[in-house]
Amino acid sequence: MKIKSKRRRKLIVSVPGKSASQRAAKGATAAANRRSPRRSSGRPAVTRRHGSRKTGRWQRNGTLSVIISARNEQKTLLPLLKQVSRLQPMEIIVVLNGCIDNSFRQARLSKEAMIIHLPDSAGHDVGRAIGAKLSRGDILLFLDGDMVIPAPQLAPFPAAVDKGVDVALNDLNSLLPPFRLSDDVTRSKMFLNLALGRGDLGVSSMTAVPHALSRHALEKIGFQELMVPPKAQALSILGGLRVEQVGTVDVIKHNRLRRTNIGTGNAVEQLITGDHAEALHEVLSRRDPGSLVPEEVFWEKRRQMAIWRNGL
Amino acid sequence: MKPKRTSARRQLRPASKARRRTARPVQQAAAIPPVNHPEPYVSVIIPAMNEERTIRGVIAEARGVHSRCEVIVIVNGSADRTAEMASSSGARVISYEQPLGHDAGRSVGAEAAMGEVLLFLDGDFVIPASKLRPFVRAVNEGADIALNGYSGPVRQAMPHPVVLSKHALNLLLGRPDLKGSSMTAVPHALSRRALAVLGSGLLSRPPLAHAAAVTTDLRVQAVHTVEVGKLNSVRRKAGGSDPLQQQIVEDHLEAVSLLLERRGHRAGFGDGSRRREIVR
Repeated sequence: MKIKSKRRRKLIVSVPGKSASQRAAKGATAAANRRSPRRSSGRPAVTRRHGSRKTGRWQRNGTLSVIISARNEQKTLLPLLKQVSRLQPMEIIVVLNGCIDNSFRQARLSKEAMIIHLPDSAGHDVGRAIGAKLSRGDILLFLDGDMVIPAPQLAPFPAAVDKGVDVALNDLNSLLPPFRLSDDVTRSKMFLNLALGRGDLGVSSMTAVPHALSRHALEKIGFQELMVPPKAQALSILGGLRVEQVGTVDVIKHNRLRRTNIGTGNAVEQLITGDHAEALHEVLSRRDPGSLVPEEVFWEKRRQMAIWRNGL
Repeated sequence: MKPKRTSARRQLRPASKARRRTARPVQQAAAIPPVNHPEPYVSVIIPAMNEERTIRGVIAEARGVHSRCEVIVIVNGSADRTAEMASSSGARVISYEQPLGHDAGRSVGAEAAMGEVLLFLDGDFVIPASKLRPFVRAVNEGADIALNGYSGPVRQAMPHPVVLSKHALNLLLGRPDLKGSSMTAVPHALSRRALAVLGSGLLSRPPLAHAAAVTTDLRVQAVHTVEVGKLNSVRRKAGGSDPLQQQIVEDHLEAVSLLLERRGHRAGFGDGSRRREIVR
């Protein structure tokens, strides 16, 4: 790993691998064509404008590290970085994951961003783990490069962590369709929370951005585990961390459609189902084998339940 | 002239021709004798606990699924006349003074069954024979486990925990097409082969049996939808929460545990292009 430092806060970390130019140029044009013209600005409407310049509103005690993972997001990256800098973070870490477009040049236009360039794709959510490892702040805010979220909508996440929450999640429950229409990912997330005894969290998950962590949470979970977000969520709840839903940012409507994330049973859905299986494996393996009820006790309990339900 | 309002055209019948008034001759169904067949093809298994109001109707409809049929009623923990009524309807009655516990009657019934197809019902609501026959037919045509396609109430965004558990288990089993179908729900039918593979004991723990079945080469299908949710009687709940509900979620986690044991810690799903080794 080479580290070239240009300014004190501006780093370029390059991981050896195939260079971007070696990739087929076809993929790049296809990616550009898939982009819908509606989202060309890539920016949801800002509803509250007043007072956003008053940075005093977002004063914190702890320092903030923002970690952005991006994959070919040349259009949204710079506006997103602009919004993020309004939060006055101590550092912004942009992890470029196998980018074959202009993302790198766009990110370099930001004066604050520290750029980690992975020429080969490291896969889903690995960028988060790398970014978390390099971060130094007390509060870690995780974002994706594909969506520009206005700073006022981002602010509640670090603010909650500053006030003592360990894991601040995005509350997507109000945006859900009826269960019969929901996708596999939604169902997996709900079931994991139910299994963790946190059915109240509904669909809220570390799989979704934005979410924020305290440094304490990061140390408790372990930065490596962040690359399987449901497992990280399971570890947080099992570890007794304060996991709460702190705000709602509609990331469903603005999610960029890629070849791999549309249609039922798509590759991303399969991967995320596997991630949830891994998380449930963690939950189940943590159970004390000594706590397993013996067969007789098990059936006695069922007997009592049958009697009780029968109204006897 | 304004044509006379008639349904003739829709029926492809000349308007001049009179509608057939006489009903089609209905073949009189041979009266089903209220006894079990000595060499049954279908065994209907009905656990019952204080179901004297419904048991006769359940047995009568069960007899209609096949000409060679035996009905086995597992009466347990009943203080009423369920057992007498079942035997007067010609069913084979297996009685236990004490309650066997939730779903335990299914194992007892499966042990006693002689048929090639095992159809599982509940004693507390009557399902017409016409809605039961598709389950037997599916097994006859090669399915090993024919499930009810009913997925429970799914109109709200936040589902009932049990409904969620069933959907999630199927998802993790790599069978999202089954939606919320599960061996937890009746009616469902098993082939003799399925019983041999699973063993009768496992049938008392339906989510576990379901996971065991899907992870083997047994053919599991959702074949027909019977809306049992509407038929279920409203049961007692403790302060809004149902202890059985917690138990069922727990049972599903046990099923997940079996799945992970058989297919590895990611349940057989891939890791995509994730390169874990680069994070150290």
